[in-house]
Amino acid sequence: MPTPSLLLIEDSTDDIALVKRALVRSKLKVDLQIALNGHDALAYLASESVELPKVIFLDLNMPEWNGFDLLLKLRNQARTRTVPVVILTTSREPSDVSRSYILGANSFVTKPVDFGEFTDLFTRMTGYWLDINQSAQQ
Amino acid sequence: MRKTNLGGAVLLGAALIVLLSAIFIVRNDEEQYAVMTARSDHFKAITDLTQAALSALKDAETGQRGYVITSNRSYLEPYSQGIRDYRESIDRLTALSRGDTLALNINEFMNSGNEKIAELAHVIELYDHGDRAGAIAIIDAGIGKDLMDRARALSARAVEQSEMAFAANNQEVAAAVRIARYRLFFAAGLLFCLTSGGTLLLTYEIRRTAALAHGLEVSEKRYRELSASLEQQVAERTRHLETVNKALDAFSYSVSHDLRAPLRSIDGFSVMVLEDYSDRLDDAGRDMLKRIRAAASRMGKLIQSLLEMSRLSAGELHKERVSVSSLARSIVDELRAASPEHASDIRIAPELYTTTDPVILRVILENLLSNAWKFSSRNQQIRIEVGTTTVEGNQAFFVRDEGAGFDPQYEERLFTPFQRLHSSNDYEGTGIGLATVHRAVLRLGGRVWAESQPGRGATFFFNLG
Repeated sequence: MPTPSLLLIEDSTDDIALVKRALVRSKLKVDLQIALNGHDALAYLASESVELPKVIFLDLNMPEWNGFDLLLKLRNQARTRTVPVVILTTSREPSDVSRSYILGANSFVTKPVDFGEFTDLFTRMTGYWLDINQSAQQ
Repeated sequence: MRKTNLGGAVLLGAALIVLLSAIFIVRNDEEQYAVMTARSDHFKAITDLTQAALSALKDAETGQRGYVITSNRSYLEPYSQGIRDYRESIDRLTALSRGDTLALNINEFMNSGNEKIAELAHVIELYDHGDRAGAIAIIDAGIGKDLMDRARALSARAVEQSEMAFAANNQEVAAAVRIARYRLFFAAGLLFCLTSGGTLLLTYEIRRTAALAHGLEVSEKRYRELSASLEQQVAERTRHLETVNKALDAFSYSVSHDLRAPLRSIDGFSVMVLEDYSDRLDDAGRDMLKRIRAAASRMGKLIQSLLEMSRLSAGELHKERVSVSSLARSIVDELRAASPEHASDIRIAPELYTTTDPVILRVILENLLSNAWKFSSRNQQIRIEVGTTTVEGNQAFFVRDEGAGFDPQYEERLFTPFQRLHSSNDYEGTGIGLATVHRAVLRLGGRVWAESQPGRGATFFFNLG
């Protein structure tokens, strides 16, 4: 069985570095794919040659297409409709939370300032969606 | 305005009184006039009757003479008729003049007339008894003539008196009529003055009232315009405030996003440096990085508190019946779970209820209870009491602890953001908790205050509008 992949859609290189380190600290065996914007993400997901990621982590605050725009597109494409999407953002706005769920997000996670907490949260969230996928495949 | 309105009415009322008085006086005058007319008739009747009596006397004398001279008994007929007429006239005269000033004259006339009648009867008696010569002698002697002259003179006097009284009465009537005429002229003049004065005054008042009404209308219109422009101003201000609020919301949003993101990097990369370069860092270097992390964490909490505080002002209130006791218990449970190492004795009065916005009340209680917990954390046992008391006739809730307390002279600073009465080395915190409580209580229309002595704990009171 190939290593399950995870797609991070994030424009901030700092946050990408943090996620990378968190993944290392989590000791999960996951292939991390990164898209710096919505176009790249759609292009990656459209490619038939790569297997779909087990979970997508999506930032809300991005230039050009923001997270909501991209989420809408993902949920309107047959290929990506059922891929779990976790909103990973700095926002705690209730309006952002509800809008995300309305557009079809599976989880909404606010990134904590404390890196320890961030690692824990990321590890649990990733583990959860990998487990769900695995049990679905069995 | 009221006074002048009364003026017109008073004048017209006076005119009415004058009119009624005039009618009364005219009616009175009429009665008086009737009395006077009756008196004139009375005097006229006395004159007529006196003359009729004298005339009857003459007829009787003529009849007597005719009989005595001619012995023809047919002359006795006018004689008897004269006597009857005389007596009838005299009877009526006596009745009319009874109690009158003319009675004396009438009496004198009557006596002389009676004497004459007696003389006439005596002569006829003598004649009838055959004493013709005696009868003629009496006539020749002129006794009858004397008596007749006397009666004539007396009747003339009575008539003259009666006519004088009649004339005097007529003069009185004329005078009374004159006076009545003057009175009527005067009354008419007065009526004219009063009615025209009253009408003028009323017209003036009506015009004035109309002018006032017009003025009122004008000022009402002006007021309407003013209030419309005020409403417009209020609407503009409200729109402006809404814009400002939206700007503030946007600001809060960007604070939550853009200020926290760099903090996360600071903390995350500090961890990475600690992990990746630990072999090249000495204790001092590691300590510095830990301080950087602690500062980032504090700032993260600060931003969160600020956001929560700014959210208190926004949005609508949703008031409902809330169990303050249950809310306090759930918060205390969270505090106990967060620091299970502390022994605690928390007393929450049962059955505390109020009607308010539960979300905002929770913010108040969370901050007060976590403050009480925090400032009691150096005690062997944390003791906190939640209850209610009556202050100035209103129910006030309180949260009492036996912790560090504060110097009452700094009470005013207590509720100001970022004002800390204790060093952050002793008690960690953002310095925003009580400012948040203050804002939350204000939002609910209440008041918050505190009592304390350093080292003897503090009691925070609040009531809700």
